[in-house]
Amino acid sequence: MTTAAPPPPDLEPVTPHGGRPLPPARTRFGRWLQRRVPVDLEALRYYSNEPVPNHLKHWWWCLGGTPAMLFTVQAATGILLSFYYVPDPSQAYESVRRVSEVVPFGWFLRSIHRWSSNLMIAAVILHMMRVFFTGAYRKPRELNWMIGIGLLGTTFFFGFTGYSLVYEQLSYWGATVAGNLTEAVPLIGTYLARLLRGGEMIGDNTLTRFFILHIGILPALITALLAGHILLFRLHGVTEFEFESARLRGPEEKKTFPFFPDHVMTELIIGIGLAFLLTCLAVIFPAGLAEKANPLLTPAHIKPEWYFFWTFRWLKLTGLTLAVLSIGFFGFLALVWPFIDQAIRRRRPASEISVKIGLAAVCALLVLTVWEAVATH
Amino acid sequence: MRAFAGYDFATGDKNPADGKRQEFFNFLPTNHPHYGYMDYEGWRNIRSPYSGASLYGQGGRRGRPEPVRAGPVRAADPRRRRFPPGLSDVNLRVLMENRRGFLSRLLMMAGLGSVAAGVSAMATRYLYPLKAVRLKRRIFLAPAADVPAGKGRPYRLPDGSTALVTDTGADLVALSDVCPHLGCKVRYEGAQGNFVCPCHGGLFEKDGTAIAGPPADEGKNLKRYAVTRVGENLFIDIEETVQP
Repeated sequence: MTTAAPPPPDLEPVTPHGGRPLPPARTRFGRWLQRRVPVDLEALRYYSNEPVPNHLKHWWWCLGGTPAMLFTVQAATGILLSFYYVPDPSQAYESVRRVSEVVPFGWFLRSIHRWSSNLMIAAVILHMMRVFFTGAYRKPRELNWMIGIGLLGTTFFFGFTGYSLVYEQLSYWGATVAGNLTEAVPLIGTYLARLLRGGEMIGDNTLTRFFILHIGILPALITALLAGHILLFRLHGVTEFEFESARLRGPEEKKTFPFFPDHVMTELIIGIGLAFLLTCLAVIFPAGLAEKANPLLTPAHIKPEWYFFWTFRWLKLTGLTLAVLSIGFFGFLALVWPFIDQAIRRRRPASEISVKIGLAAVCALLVLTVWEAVATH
Repeated sequence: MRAFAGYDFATGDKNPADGKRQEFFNFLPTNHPHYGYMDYEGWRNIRSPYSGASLYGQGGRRGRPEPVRAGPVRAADPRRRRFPPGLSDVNLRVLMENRRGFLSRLLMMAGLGSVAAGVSAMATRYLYPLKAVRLKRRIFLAPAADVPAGKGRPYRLPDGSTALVTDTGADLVALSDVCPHLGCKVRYEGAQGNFVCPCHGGLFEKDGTAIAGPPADEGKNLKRYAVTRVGENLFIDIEETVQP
């Protein structure tokens, strides 16, 4: 009487909780690991390696990954900078000066952080414009557009709190202006401003709040939004477009290429390009340090960072309350734009009005920005 | 394929703050104007090894041949191959599947790895504290009449430590009050005429020599400051440690 010997325990298939049995890995270490980390590689490969439409071979369509890459740069350099930064009004400026002038490579890391933030905002805006003008926000991707607007707002808030931390003149007076703008919001403005500043006016609490926002709350928020953004994007897949040229060639022309390694390679090249650009910018134009914040003296010419130029100019053109309300309304329009677009297209299916509205908005923002950039007052 | 390595070296001033100029400042630092901002700075304090490699394709076949398709004409159409290569034509798949691509892959990984190593080294250097600077100086301590004969009197020094100054009759002794054993504060016992460490019973002579307890076993005396008398005043030589 013979009984079939049971397979050695090592070769018994592993079944993840609630899943199907996994084919055993080839090597012994592989099987050891498989028992500890029971991941269905087959499924993982399927979900992580979707075919990517061919148009992603062009640079212009790969802008979405850029802000994500810059965000990792920001996280890494930001963590390093926070080792020396002291969020105290009497020491903040001095600690930034120390990082820039005494600590080895401090100037470099700070310059990378500063430049990367600027590039990140530019990349987010470019990515958003690409999505807008190609209509990639349309059904069923409305929610992802809204998350994207959230990411844009978070990035702006990051920029604002970031340059407030340096505690130079611009930091102090920028925070002052922002606080007063918040106060101009009807009904809740006063409370909101107090919450932001930690008091009736800018004081010892303010810098701590901006610091915690900048290194704790906003990073958590942007990580969550980013995860949602990428998850939805992966679930829907890359938007397929009907190109004029493809339509002429015929329907079977729809070509794809694998995400890994081809698209990863593209992103890698973009990443290396970004690293090169950042290094050059940081070395040639290192982040400087302006005069220390002086609560008794508003500088004669004060301007925010370039990405707030348009709000600044708009503020000068309209009144305080009107500016706050209109900018809020503009933000709201941007948030719900997919639904507005849908309503328009339901009435007039062939209408190109969305593109025209988008162009008008871009032109208006550009004009305001350039106007503020060239004007002294 | 081309491999290269080099080492840039430029001397500089060891300590730019000490008022001594140890470097040569050249008015036109570099002999050609293409370094941009570096031209204004000159080459100073540089120690920079570098290496790298570049690989050039041999032309000809790029990657794998196109797979055979069901459609009869397209794959063979020579015009299709004349398109400018998209980004992904320089692709990792080709590098991974071609035997010839192995070297390129290795070099690429080495390049990325060295970037990562460089950045890590930079971050470590950034986080590792700078060497503390020791400053020696002579400061005013007290009028000579201030130190009572035979008794020790503590004086607070600028770095927060205390010097016990005792007029032993023959000599003025200024001792650190930090026990050399484990850092407790010693005090002067007038009745015995000794310094006593309360922690482990270390005993020191008036001049700081250890005579009993752990400090004596280890042969460690109290640290002694140099005190100088100039006219009616006492001056003490102190050493401060400054962490930049």
